Amino acid sequence: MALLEVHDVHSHYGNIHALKGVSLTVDEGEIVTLIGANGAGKSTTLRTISGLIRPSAGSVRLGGRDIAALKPHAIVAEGVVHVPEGRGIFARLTVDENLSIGAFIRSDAAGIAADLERVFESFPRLKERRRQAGGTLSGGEQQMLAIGRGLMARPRVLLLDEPSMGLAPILVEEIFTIIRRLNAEEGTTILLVEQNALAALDVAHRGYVLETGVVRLSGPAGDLKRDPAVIEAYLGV
Amino acid sequence: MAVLTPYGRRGLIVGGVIVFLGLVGLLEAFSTRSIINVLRTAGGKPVAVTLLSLPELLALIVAFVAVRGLLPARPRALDAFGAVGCGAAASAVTAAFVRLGPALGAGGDGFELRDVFIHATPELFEVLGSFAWHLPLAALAAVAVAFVRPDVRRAVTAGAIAVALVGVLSDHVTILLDHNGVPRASTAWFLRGKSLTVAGAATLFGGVAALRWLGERFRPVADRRLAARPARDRRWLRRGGIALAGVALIALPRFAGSYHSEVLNQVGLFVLMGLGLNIVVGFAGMLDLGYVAFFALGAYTMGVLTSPESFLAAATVPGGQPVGPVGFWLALPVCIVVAVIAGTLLGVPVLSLRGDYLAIVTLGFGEIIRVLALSEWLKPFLGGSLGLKRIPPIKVPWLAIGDGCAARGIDVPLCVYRLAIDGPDKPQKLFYILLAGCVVAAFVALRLKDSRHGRAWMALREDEDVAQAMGIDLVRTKLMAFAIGAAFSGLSGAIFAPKLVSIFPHSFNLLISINILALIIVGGMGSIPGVIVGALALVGLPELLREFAEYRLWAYGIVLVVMMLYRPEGMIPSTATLRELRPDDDASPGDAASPSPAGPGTAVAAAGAEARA
Ligand SMILES: Nc1ncnc2c1ncn2[C@@H]1O[C@H](COP(=O)(O)OP(=O)(O)O)[C@@H](O)[C@H]1O
Ligand SMILES: [Mg+2]
Repeated sequence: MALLEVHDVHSHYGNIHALKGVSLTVDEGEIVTLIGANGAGKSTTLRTISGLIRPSAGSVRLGGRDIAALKPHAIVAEGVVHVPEGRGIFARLTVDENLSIGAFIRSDAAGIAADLERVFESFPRLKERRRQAGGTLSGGEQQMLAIGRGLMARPRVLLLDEPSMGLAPILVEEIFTIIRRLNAEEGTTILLVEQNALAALDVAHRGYVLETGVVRLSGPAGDLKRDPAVIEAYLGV
Repeated sequence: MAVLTPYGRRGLIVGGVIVFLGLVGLLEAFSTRSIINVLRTAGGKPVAVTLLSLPELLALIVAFVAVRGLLPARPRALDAFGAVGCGAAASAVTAAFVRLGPALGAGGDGFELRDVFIHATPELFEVLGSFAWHLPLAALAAVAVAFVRPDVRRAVTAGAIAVALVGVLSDHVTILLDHNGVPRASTAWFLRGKSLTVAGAATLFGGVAALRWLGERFRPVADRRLAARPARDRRWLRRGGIALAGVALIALPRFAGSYHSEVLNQVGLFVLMGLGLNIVVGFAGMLDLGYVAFFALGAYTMGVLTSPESFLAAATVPGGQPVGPVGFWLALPVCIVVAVIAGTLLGVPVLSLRGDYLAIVTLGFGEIIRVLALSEWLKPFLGGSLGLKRIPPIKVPWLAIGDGCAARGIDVPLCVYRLAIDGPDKPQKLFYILLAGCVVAAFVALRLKDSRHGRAWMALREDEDVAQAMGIDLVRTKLMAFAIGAAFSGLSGAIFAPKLVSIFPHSFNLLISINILALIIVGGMGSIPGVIVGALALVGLPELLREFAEYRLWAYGIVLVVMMLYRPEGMIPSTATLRELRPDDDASPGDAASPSPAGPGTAVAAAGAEARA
């Protein structure tokens, strides 16, 4: 049984039918990527999983348990942590404060302290800027902070929405290296939404291609990378 | 020449502002307040002649701030020239007004300036006529200050604020000295009549400036020495400081006397409410404009429960027993619970509202409570516009120990009998109750700020959606802020009712909510010491400047605008606000927030001066 199972989910923004029956699964220890053009519904899918939007039909299961009806904070408590598009750093709060809010749902002080050290190991640059306001960090550092903050909740599934957005190529590479390492070394399960399809398919095990609210294609990342339709639509120059 | 144009224009504006201050009556109302005076012999007898009056000080501040705002960081000769020109232009405007003003309407053509501006009296023209040399001088001072080293500048500013504050409030200083039995002869060199002497002003200025300078100079050394001491020593030092502050506060009403204790009580009520609203607005970032509602609920609950005239006192339980009024201490928890319930009930419908919408709905809530209290429908219970009467004073058993012992000729320990103030309901006694309330509230707020809830509020304030994505329960977090905020306000209201004996619906109008919000903004959003400083400045100071009452709201407006322009983070900012508004300041928040006991008027000068620093 898959750890995260999204089954035939429909979501609306008022009259706009953004998701028209999306299904996908993420297994424990996997990186799964969801690629697609701007406006395809990738962020909506993540928002639906994390409960920020209530689906109008379909189910979202975590470890077999339906979480679609839960409130967002309860879904975080279940282990699904969403790092939103645009990072959502608390700009006026320090790096430390941002990270401590990430661990909000936990009460094991010792575990939190240990995880803080682990985050600083993964992102040494954050450690140097612990007392700096989040809003004064560079784009890459903010993304690291957003991911680190997500990790502080010790998620069972980490939902990353376009972590490469707006970053210089060298930083994009660094972020993807970190994503791969988090998965390989710490076993973090990740659902990665990306417009940068090439890089995403490079780190992911499997992938889904979303088009206007519908899953068009899915399969192992290697296969998708070679698929002529994908190459033409998303990987072409 | 083009460089000079803005100075000239600014000068005309300054002149206009001063004339305006006169036409609304502010200058005339203040004209009897003298800050510094000198002795002159007139007809063989020495008379005290005002050297600097409050209207003149106000004009000086306006001109100083205006010029300072125009000057570049490194003024050149042309700037100095322009600044003096600015002052001269302002002087010219006031002089022209003094010349032409009385002529208006003298022509017998049926028009009288006084028909439009009732304050355009001969006295006003006299006051304005004395401004000739002040404005260019203030402009020159602004230029001079730009060349002074920043540390010296801050010292000079502190000295000037101290002189202004003590000078303006010298009648109160005299009352306090008299109350404490200080013979007038021993302070005559310092205070004469209702103002400072030149020697007094010079001493005060020098003393405060020197202290400020030395403090700034040696603070880092002291901090470093202290940091080198073991943590245990530091803890003891802090406890000692707290104990000392405690003793000072306990002794305060004895030295303050009954009138000034009353003023402190007024401040205390607003500190309590400010601490509560600070949780809602400052911590959780929800703009609540109906906060007075909980104050009203606390007060009315107290009134209904304790007044022998309330419907409850006359009611009977099913067995035929009269219910009767209950005592303050029994009613107090009920008041707080009622406020908490109301806070939660208000919270539920506004959960999904943000910003402006939230402000408008809460505004309505505040009015609804007042209108309900005023309504015919609830008149049998709440008294309608006649309100509730004969709310008994608060009785504190142990505060009477001293009285009892003294009556029996028993010698009681110093601390106990110093607390004892004769009479059952003196403001001095109420002070202790408010002090206890404020200490508890401040402690709770302080602990909450650093707690899990505090972090949740902080996240909520920054970004509701992301907070949710971090696992924060919006419903619980918001309701909690509303409920705790309401509790503090309910407590304040519960003390307010017996303090006033009678309460009326019109005591609970929108202005109270605005007042509390203003004091939080002036003190510094989210900052607990800021609430206290804000309450002292916006509630205490106007209370001491009686003739000011009419202009209170007007001054609030000005203070808020000036604050937003020059020091938007407030007088004692919280660290998060400081980070946003002064991102490139390397100075630690403590440094930038040198707490100065400044009032509205002087805050303008301080804010202006420091914003340029
Ligand atoms: N808050 C919103 N209100 C209304 N429509 C929205 C909102 N957010 C997204 N949409 C619409 O839903 C569709 C999917 O959007 P989104 O999930 O953000 O796409 P993607 O993340 O793939 O770029 C788009 O057509 C978009 O215009
Ligand atoms: Mg998106």
